[in-house]
Amino acid sequence: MGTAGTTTPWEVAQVASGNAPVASSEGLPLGYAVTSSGRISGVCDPSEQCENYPFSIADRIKLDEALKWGTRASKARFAVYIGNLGSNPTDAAGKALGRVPTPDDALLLAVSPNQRIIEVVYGANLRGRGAEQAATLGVAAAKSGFAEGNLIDGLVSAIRVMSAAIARP
Amino acid sequence: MTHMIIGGVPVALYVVLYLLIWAKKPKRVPEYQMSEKWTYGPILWAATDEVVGAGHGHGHGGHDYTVGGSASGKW
Repeated sequence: MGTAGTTTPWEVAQVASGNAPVASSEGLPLGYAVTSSGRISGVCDPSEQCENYPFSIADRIKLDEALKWGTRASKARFAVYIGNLGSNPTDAAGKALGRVPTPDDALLLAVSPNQRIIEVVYGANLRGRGAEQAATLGVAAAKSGFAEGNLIDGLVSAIRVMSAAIARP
Repeated sequence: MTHMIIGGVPVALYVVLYLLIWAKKPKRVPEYQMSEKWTYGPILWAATDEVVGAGHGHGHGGHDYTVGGSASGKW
């Protein structure tokens, strides 16, 4: 697992088989399994805390759907990063883009809540398909969402705006 | 008596199971509010199940790629 200037391991999950190559189901806690797409799925006792995403299930589904349908509509792979971006946010976002599958055809919306920074980076194949304008629009949409104090709503509207602005190949 | 068994057993089972399942509150991470400090690890979520790009299938990191451009802002 690579890191981009952070000590915490990346979490690639949800929609997402991600690029965490899960070799086998050995070593997983009770009630966990590796799905056919490589994603880890699991259940746990309700009295134990078994996940670390500080978003409600409804919010995560909203984001999931936005990523999926945004990707299908524009044929640009949408990705979202939430976390610190360090002293060189554009660089850090660019590195994170490299961890998304087919990065040349991907667009990453990176947000650092502590630094109040929004970065949009996209792969080279999206140049000339409207990504330049889409990135600017996405930043503006995220900004207005965040200003209202809702992280997920800001992300979702940014993804929708950018997906609409990018032409299919 | 027969009615007691036919009706009572399912009702009792229902009550017992209901209590077993719902008595414990699930432990969840508190929802993040934007006014708070972000203390969680970095999250990277992507639509990885979608087929995108010219037939390369899923990339697995480490491949060469070129950043086409970027935009940034603050709020």
